[in-house]
Amino acid sequence: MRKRIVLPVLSIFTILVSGMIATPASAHGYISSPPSRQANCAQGRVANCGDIVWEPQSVEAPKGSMQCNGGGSRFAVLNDNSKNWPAASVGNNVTFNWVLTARHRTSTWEYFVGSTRIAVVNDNGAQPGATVSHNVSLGGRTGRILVLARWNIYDTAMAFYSCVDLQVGGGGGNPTPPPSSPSPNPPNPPQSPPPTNPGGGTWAAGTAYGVGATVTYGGLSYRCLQAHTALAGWEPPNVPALWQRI
Amino acid sequence: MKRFVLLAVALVTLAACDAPPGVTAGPSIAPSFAPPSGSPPPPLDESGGYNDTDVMFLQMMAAQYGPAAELLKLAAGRTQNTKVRDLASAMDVTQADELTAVQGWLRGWAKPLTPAADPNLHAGHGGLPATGPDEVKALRDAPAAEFDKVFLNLLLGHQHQAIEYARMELTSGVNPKILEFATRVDSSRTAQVTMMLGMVSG
Repeated sequence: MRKRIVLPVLSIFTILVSGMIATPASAHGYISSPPSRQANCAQGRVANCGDIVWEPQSVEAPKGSMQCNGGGSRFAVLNDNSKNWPAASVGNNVTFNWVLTARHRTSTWEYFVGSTRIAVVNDNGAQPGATVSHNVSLGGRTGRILVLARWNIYDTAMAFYSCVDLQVGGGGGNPTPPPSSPSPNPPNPPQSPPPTNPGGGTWAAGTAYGVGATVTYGGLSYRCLQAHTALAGWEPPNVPALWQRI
Repeated sequence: MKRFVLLAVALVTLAACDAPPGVTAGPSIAPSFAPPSGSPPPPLDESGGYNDTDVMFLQMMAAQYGPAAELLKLAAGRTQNTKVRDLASAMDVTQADELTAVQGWLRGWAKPLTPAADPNLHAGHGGLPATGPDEVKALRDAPAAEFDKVFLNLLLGHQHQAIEYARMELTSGVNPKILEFATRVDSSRTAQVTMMLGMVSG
C-alpha cells in the first residue's frame, strides 16, 4: 500500500531531480590500454588512489581542462605527478583503446602532450561504435611523456578525461618503473596455462584452481568443477557452478 | 543520458524509503565495506521486505545477463589465451546461476523479469544495458588478432555497469538477501575488472 503512494511521488520527483542533475554521478569511459592512470589504479598497480579504483570510467568534468581529473572536485590523485605511475613502453605510433559504459554522442576525441594537441578525431555528433581505438603519432617525441585524452560529449558541456604515462622509444628507453604492488596478472605467453594449485588448503582469492582441486572453506570441503582463478565474491558456497561440496 | 533519470529514480527511492542504518545516502558516494572473507555469508532473511531499488537492481541485472552470456561464450570458444578462456568460462557459468537466482527472487515478488518499458526511463542510446546486439556483433566480427582486446574492452564496460548497479543497491536497497547479492556482485566484478585490465595491458 505504501508503494502506491511512493510511485506518483517518484514520478514527480524524477521530473524535478532529472532536471537538476547537472553533473550526473553515472559513468562513461576511460582508456584501458596503454593503461591510463585510472586503469592503473583499478588494476591495483598503483596504491592509495581512493574512489577512482571503483569507477575509472567516471572522470567527468566540464570541457576544456588540461588536468588529468578534468579539474573536477573528485579524483585529484590523478593529477599527482609525484605518484609512481607506471609508464608503458611504446613506439612512435600508439593505439589508445577505450572502455565505454555509455556510448554518448561525441563531438571529438582529443590527445595532448603538454599544451600541444597532437591528435583530434571528429565524430561530428555521431554515437561511437561498440569499441573505440585511435592510432596516434607521438610526433617523434622520445622519453617519458604524459598524454592527456579528452572525450568531448556532443550534447552536454562535459568531457571525460584520461591521462596515460608513456615511455617512448625503443632500445635505450628506460624500463617501466616497477609497480608499487605486484600485478595479480603479470603478462604471460598466451600458450602457457597458469600454474594451478593442487588444492588441499584453505580457499584463497587470487589462487588459480584446476578441475579436481580441493579446498576447505568455512569448515567444509569443496572440489573444483571448472578451472578458474578464485576471487572475492566467488567463495565456494556462493558459486556452485565452480565448486562442489564433498 | 536517460540513465541519469534512472539514477534520479534511485535517489528519490532513497528519499521515499527508510534507509537502513549505516548505509550512506547518495549514489556518488561509494559505500565502503569489507568483502566477505573467511566465513560463509549469514543465512538469508527470506521474509525481508523490499523496496523499488531492490526490484530495479534485480531487473537491471536480469537485463544484463543475456548479452554478457553471448560475449562470454564467443570468447570461451575463440580466444587463444588460456587465462582469458578460463575467466570467460567461469564468468559464464557463475552468471548463469546468478540469473536463475535473480529471476527466482523477482518471481517470488511477482515482479516483471525485465525493467519497466517506460521510454522515458531508458529508451534510445546510452540506456541499459550497455551491452547489446551492436557489442555482440563487434566481437563476432573482430579479427583474430584483435579478438581478446575487443572482448576485454567490451566486457570491462559491461562489468563496470554491474558495479554501478550494485552500488545503487548497496546505497538504497533494503532487502538483506538482495544486499548480500549486491555485495557479491560488487566484489566479484571489481576483482574481474582488475584481472581484465591486467590482461588487456599485458
